[in-house]
Amino acid sequence: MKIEIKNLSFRYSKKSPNVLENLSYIFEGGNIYFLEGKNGVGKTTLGKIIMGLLKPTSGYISFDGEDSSKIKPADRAKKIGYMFQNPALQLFAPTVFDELAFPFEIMGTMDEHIKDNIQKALKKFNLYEAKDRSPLTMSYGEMQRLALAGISLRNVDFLILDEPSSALDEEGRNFLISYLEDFSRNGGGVILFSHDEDTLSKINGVIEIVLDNGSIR
Amino acid sequence: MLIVKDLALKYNEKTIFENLSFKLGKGEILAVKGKNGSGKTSLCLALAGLMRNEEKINLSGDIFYDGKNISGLSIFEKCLEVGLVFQNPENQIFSPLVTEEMVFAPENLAILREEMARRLQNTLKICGIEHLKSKKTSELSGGEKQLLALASVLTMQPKLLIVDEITSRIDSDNKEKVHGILKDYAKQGNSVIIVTHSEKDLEIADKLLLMGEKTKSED
Repeated sequence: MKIEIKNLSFRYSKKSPNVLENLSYIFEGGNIYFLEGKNGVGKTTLGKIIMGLLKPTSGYISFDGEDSSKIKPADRAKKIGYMFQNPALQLFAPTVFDELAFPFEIMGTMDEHIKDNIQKALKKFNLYEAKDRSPLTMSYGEMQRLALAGISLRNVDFLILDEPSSALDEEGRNFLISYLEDFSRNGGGVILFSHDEDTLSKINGVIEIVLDNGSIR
Repeated sequence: MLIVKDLALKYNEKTIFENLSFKLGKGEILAVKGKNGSGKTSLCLALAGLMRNEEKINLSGDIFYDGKNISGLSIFEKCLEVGLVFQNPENQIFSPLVTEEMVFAPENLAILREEMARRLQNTLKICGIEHLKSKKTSELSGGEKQLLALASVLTMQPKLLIVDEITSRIDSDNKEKVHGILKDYAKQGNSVIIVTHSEKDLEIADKLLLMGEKTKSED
């Protein structure tokens, strides 16, 4: 999958200055992009625009050549997995297992095969012992692992992860690196917004880019 | 002086930590490190007096601030002893404007207006967020919210400052700035606890508390 951003500008209100200014860039599947930038430069804003959570002031984004503004949210969610900077914003089910099962329950696609995949994901993401716990009683790092586990089950083409390692311990960070390397090796694309250079610059083949003054360089 | 004696926490009968004892003197910085779920954030909440025994939570042991058990302190007294910067600043920030957020605690501690204004200006400056002072808190980025959360606790001037993963969303320039702020705060005769997974954060600490299967403290 290819995400093309063309001449994108964004401001939060008519009175406020542009956060993003005439930004153009192409993110391609099979690559891991590590987008750095100072606090307040617009990294999270860019992620939300790609996900359709914010509308650009001007410019456009296409997914494999298709204008993303014409793609329904449900179809967009099938292509891209988005992890919020604050994972608590995307966790709401009564238990960890229910959280992972939710997208399949809502789409009416739950079956034995998916239940089996959820069990495998619980083990892979080191959440098996917590499967009956409420996600909101988990530590922040555990919530980050759960949010990523939920996305991993959906077989998306692209991952957009906002500060995914900020609360992970060393084991969790090493797991994240190997998970992302596997994901991109299988053709998936990854965009990481983060300040965690120590962890993310270790990823094999990572493409480091900088958001500065509203544009990517 | 902070003294923690035989502190233990069980959640739903599961032991999160136990036999936790340590001391922290004035001018010292303690780093707390450990695996996800080892109880670091719970420890912070307990030290700040924000955790109590409930249906599923069993907290035992003692926490003393200058010889006074935290269980006997009023909320007002606790605020003078300890200030906690939450791991997730969105759980802490609630005022519409940056400056309102920063003066909320001093106002409620009945700090005189002139002193409050002095603390506000001084903290905006040392945290490097003067450019944010007219902004709405909802407009801030994650890293800016972390800096505001820190600034808001600093205006209270607690004797013990606890920061939970304070540098996790902060850019490299601001990380150095935060390290300087914490070191200066300790040098002024206060104590600091920093919960972290970052090796760079550990470098500013005088002591280390490792949470996990074998919780232990090291000088």
